[in-house]
Amino acid sequence: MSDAVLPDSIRVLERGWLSSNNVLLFDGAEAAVIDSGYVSHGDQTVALVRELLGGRRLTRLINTHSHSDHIGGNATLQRTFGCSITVPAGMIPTVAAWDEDALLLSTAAQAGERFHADHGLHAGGSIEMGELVWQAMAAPGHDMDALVFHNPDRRILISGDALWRDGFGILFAEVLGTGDGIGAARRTLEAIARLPVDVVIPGHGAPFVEVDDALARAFGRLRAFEEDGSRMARNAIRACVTFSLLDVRSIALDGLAEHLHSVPLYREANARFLGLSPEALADWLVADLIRAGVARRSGNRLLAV
Amino acid sequence: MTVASPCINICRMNADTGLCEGCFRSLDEIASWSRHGDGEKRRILDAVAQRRAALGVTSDAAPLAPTEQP
Repeated sequence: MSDAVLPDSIRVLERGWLSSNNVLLFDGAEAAVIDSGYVSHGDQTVALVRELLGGRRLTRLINTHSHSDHIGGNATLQRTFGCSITVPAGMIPTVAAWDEDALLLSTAAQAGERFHADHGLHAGGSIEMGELVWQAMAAPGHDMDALVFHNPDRRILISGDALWRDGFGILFAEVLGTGDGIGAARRTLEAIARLPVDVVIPGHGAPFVEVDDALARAFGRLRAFEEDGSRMARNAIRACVTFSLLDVRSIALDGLAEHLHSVPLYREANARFLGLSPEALADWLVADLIRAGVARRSGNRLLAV
Repeated sequence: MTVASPCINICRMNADTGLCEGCFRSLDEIASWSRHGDGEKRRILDAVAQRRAALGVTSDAAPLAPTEQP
């Protein structure tokens, strides 16, 4: 493989899955950052951003979409650096009302800190960051209001969770039955495939240059989800519980079935695609997470490995 | 496949050691990770292993991806 080479005006802070990547873009003495990580990592996010700023002033924070692993550090970064916050225009009412259901916080049992969005960015608009002009493109699927940012000159795509090296983020609308997540994701991938792109900076994982292969894998996974909704549902439950486990580090097995029944995402995924009793769902999940090496059992608790 | 990040999602700096409590990297090592080639990433992983041993940390938590492989 060849390494993704980015201009000096772009730096990518890559951590794991609980915190999205933070992309810093430098314009002389000023800087912008795309996405802010998970709320519990806020102090380290501030320290890492300060390290990379090297004395520059952080003036803008821009979000690709509204999920907890991308907006969790918004309030902290704004308090610390005084930056403005720009969100996809479709997110504005949700953020203003701090609708924890629509933000998927209560829906998926995740945490966040309320913030005030200063600006909304529309698809089709452009934004200057890192001495480059980026086109904001609608990228519905994982999040129906999501944006990706494309610079045609340097052929770079900042893809959020619309496209990763191996897949894409959970298609929440499809799993919850609130929208055509699969159709939207397909149209988003098709739109990305038409763009001139040499390097993708994803929302999680290292920047990559194998764009065609990533698109082929994403289309393949989409087909698999379309053919077998239970696979999509199991994937969503597994991914979200793993995410929670990374956050809380340990879950009581006694209450797991009840938890799976009380959190809307798990309840809907099960009701719409699996039809298992909460106990059977919990049993499958525990076995599956242990088999995948994501968790281990200790007494009556499930621990993050 | 490129060298995987050692991040285990416990992203918290320890004031005494100056290292992340999850991955045992310094702020600079985390901040610069994505710009390093595989050789430098491996050097950091070796240093991390030595720090863990020196600090008596025995668990070998691995980085993970919570998504299904296709």
